[in-house]
Amino acid sequence: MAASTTPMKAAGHAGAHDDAHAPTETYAERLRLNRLGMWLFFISEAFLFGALLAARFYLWGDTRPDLDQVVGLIVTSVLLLSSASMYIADTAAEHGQWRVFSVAAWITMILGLVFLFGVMIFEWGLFPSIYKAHLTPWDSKYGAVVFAMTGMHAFHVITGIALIFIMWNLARKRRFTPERHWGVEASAIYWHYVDVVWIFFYPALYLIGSVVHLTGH
Amino acid sequence: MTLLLSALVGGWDSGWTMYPPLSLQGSVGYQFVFWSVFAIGLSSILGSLNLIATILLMRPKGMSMFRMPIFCWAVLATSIIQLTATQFIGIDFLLLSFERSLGMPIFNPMMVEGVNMGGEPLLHQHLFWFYSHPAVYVFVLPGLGIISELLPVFSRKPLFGYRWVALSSIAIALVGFLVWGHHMFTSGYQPYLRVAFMISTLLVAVPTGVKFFSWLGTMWGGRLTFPTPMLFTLGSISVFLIGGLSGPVLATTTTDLFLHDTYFVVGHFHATIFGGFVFPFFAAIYFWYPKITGRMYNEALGKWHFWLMTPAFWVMSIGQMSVGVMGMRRHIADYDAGLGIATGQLWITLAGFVIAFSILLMIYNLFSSAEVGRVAGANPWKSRSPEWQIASPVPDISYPAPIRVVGEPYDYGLLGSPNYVAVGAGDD
Repeated sequence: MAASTTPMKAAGHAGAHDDAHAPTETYAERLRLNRLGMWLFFISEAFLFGALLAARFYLWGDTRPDLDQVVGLIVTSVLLLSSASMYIADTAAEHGQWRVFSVAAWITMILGLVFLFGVMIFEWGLFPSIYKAHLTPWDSKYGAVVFAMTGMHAFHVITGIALIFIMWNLARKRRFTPERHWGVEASAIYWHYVDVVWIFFYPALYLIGSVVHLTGH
Repeated sequence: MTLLLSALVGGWDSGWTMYPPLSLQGSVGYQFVFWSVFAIGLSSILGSLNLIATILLMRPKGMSMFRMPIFCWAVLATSIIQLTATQFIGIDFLLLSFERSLGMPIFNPMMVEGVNMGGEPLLHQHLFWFYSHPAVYVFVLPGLGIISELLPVFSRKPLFGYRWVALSSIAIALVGFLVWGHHMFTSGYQPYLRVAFMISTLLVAVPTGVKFFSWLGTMWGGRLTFPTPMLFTLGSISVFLIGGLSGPVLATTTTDLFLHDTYFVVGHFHATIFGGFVFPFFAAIYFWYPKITGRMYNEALGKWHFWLMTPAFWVMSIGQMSVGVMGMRRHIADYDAGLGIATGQLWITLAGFVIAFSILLMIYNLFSSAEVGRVAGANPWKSRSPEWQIASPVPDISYPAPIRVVGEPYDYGLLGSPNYVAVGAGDD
């Protein structure tokens, strides 16, 4: 076959690992791919959380455990607020305001930690000296599902906080520019996603159904 | 690895479906299976994510979605299933692990003062089949895609109804999410669900029928040649037809109640998986063998493989269905001599050995032809697909310049139709 000598597409992207034969992509193309990949990941994760919701509705039906409503409202509000601060951080990165980004990222991480400790202290009862929770994972289907759902969600909150911390650290080392900060954007939409999941989990755990008072303990 | 290790630490005696309570009480071997499923599940989720992103955003210039090779549509449909449904079996096995290790009552009931405060074993069946039914389409859809890919090449005719075939793959994938309950007709769930799952299951026949008619329409009036890949393609259609026709019998609740857990199901499943996966897989191996190795396989041995395997398979799968109707149950090794199925069982066993022997022929063929087969050249099948326009075996640098799609993928036998791809044509 006739070898055409048409030069490869000239790309303005000087990657660290230039393959001699791979057509190099521009940053914009890579960004498009990254965004699509992120959303495909979210679709996949929706089924992960959906399976937990399915288990909740299958096992509990129109009942729910007697969880502390004040705690639920507070941790939910804290998590929603953290989404607002993450939005500020993301917008600041777009405009190159790295001081604002840094402050907003830390506010997000702290609010995320407050949510996490709220769940661990008041829902899981990990520190009985502060608060005696009445649910355990093994005494009934109520405890089992609460721990499975909040556990999986908390795992995502922890990874979200870790991601934001990594991005904060990279920003501190001036690795991002207003044009190129995919890492910040990814951690921001990941954080919003974890937030949206909680918007479905919160009513499923705290609001829907009539309360069942568990005996004992 | 963890799956194999599991056999050493007690294995799993519930079969592959992992139904509780058995899977909650069994040895630690179960835990090893769960780990292996997590690892494989993660890899298939990430792999499907990669494939979807590649198909949606990284096609060459000029290749619109409806100008892709039809196999890509099948892969897209498969990837949609793997990306999403896999999470369900992940959660299911995670919850099983938690119940095993922490005693979280998700699947085992726990009666407190006459009220069940514990779990429900049926929840496992719902979570499990929500994944595991679409999972069989993960096998079958690429196989059906290969049939649609190969038939035009060996019929020298365009693929009949390209768009419908492409969309039928997506339709099969989506309907596959609505049918999991047909595995549970006898499980004791709410009887009204049976009707819904019966109707949704029968719906699968519609897009599958689209594919069948497309295959017939592609071959109709074509100039057919019959090298081994084409034989296996036709073999898959015949075998998949057996599987397809026995499907609605099982999808219909009234008949399924009698046939549930009999060898009829075994026969049906073998026919769908051999017709939809194994036969197309062999067709694909023989078809792309010259592209992979640069040499031609031994045609005579290939034909022997086909003509031994296909009739033997008909005997085996129809035999399984018939002993199933006569009362042979699944999952047990022996049966009552009074059932009158001994002759049928003998035929099934003999056919099974013939199939195994024919596959040994193929393995010998593939290894020996890599050394002594005649040099195949770039495009022995005169295919229009891009991979055949370059040397065999494929060189490190496929194309010296980006390719551009300028024609339709399956315009075989049409005068004046442009090539499918052009190399380095035009600027980007």
